[in-house]
Amino acid sequence: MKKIIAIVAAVLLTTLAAEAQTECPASWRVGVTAGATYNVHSMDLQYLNDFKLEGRWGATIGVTGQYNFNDWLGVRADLNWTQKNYRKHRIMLDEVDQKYRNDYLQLPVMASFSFGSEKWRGFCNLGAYAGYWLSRHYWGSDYHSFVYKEYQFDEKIEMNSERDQRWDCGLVGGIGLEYLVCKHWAVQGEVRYYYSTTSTQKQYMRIKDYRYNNTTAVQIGVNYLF
Amino acid sequence: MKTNKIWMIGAALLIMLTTACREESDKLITYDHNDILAFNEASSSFAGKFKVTWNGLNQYYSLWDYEKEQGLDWDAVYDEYLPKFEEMDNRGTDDPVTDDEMEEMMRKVLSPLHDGHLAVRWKNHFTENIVTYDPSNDRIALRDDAKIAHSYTPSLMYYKDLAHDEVMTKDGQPIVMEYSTLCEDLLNDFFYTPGKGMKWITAEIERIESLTSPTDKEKSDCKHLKELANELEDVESMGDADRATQIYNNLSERYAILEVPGFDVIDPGFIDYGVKEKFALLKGNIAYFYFSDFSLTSYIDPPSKFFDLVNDVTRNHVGMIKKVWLSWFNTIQELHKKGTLGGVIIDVRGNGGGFNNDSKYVVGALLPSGGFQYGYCRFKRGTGRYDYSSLMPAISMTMDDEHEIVDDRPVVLLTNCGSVSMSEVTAQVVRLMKNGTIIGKRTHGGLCGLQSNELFSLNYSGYIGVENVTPVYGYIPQLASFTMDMEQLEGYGIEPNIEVDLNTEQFDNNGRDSQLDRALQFIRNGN
Repeated sequence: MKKIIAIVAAVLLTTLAAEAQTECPASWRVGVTAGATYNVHSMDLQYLNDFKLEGRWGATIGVTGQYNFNDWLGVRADLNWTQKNYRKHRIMLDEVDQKYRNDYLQLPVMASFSFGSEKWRGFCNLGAYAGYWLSRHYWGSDYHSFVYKEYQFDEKIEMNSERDQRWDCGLVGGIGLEYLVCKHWAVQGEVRYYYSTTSTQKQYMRIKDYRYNNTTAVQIGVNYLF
Repeated sequence: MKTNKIWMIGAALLIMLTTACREESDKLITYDHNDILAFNEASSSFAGKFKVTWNGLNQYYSLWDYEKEQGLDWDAVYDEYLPKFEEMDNRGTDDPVTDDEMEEMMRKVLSPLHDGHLAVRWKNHFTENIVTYDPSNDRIALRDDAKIAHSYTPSLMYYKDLAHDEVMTKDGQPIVMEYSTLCEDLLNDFFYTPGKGMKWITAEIERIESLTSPTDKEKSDCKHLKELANELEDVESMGDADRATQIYNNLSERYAILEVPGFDVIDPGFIDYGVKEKFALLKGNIAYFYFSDFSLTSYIDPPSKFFDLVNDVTRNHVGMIKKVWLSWFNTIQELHKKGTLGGVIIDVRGNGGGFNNDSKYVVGALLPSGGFQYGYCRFKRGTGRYDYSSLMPAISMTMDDEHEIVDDRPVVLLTNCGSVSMSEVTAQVVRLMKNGTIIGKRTHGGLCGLQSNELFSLNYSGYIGVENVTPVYGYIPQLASFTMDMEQLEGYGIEPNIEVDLNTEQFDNNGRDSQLDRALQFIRNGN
């Protein structure tokens, strides 16, 4: 049933977009974006009763390109480097406290709906993204239970091709505000949410164990319009 | 126009909603304690026992990447063997599964696993017997010194004989000390020492029976001594020393009124922490120390935690063990200070391991304070097979109190395939010491450490079940061990620097120990 609804909706979107194309002249914009991300990693902690996953801030920078079919609809693609960081620690064992930094290269492709005046325009981006997990690093402390000592570390984690899913994809949506500075330049601010539908872990065991990133980005951008 | 916008946004949202599905993980339970939900199926089903074992290992075992490199596909084991265990369940009471059949199936499932400590016990719900399978036993059985390693104990018989000129003397006597609190040795002492224990009972019965007019008390004592002797005969023939000790202790209390000399209760602490030690100062001022288990901590650190020191006999035993160790330690301190120490031999042949802390009193008593890194280790950090901590330094404890640092005289470690666990930690330390040498045979291959399940939540990994309580029990290590070169030697062991077989014919004839001889040659001649 979900498939049928998805197919109908996709057909509707395509035909409406095609119709929109004939209505008004198009325009391009290219630009750069930069901002901060806040990522929450979610997984089933099972019986690890005192483990806690918390979100952490990171950064994002990228380039963006957008083609507007008319004054309210366009298609936008970004290429950005985005961090999806998080913290894992134990409430009952303070010595275990680890911060993870994950670097991704992402390509979100979105329909961009805009509204408002010529100077100030609000926009809503909806679409999907594909990404590639470039690297991971973690630091913090762990506990050696045989000698009852805390151990500090700061190291890169080697990717395990059997376990780690390096390709990431999911849904993305954002809302923002753009200000037209002059004829060819605009600045914008956006709050965007990446909802990963790909587990960061491959299903390498018969036991299913899914882990996902949920990333909010707050970013500003500068666009050149032509 | 506006309508189109709304339709488009709506269509886009619909697509997103219908495709925004995330899968749910399987739900797991923990097997670290006696829990009815975890073990209910296992109590009456072979498939249930298999599932508990497979899942428990999947969640707790710390060597999955190593096993994968060795060619093991753990998921394929599940797919292959679950149907077979289900077939066993279908046989029912008409054709009950025997202990041998169950053990054979356990072997097939578990034999590919390399951990040297791993042991799994299942209770056969048809026979009510507990069957144990230990994969390392099968591997060790293939070693050329397997039989030797498990059937003999190092002996100083030859070396303390002054005629062989192998031992230093004091006041004309060989500098040798030996003592044991192993239950089998304490029981042997009771049964075979003239003038006490069983020998006294037998002699006393004969004496009373030879009397022409025994008193009523003598007749009564004789009757009870005969009853006691009968019960003790069963104890003497028991193979399990721990069980024999428990029955012996029970008899000691019941028959205390007979005042049999040497019929003292054996402290239950000796069941878990009994140890045999031998110290000798061999020719050339070579300080030799053998100990059967890494239990020295319980005698030194402080012993009141482990034994009932109110009891005079127990206090004497504990004191003697400490005295033997101190004799070795103090001899090294004295000779090294004078510059006359020839070398040190630590003998861990047949030593199955024990307390991590014991390291301070053995090789750690020769090294600087502050610990000695001998490799790396990691722990499980989640329920996934590959959820591990970062690698942490594996540190062997060294003595904190002031002591001589023996880095200028040879230190030799004697090993064989019965040298396990802490014996292998000691081997890893010795082979990294600039003056350390390992002589003998390759060690067991059980380098990964274990902690009791009271500490389960430190790493959320540990044993499956409770021994003798749950229908499945798994003795599983919590950490994975690596050498300084990042090698994993689990299931293989540590090779000696100089490989020497034990000449058993010579050993049986006159007690001469070819492996000890080679160590003495190495220290005396430098090769």
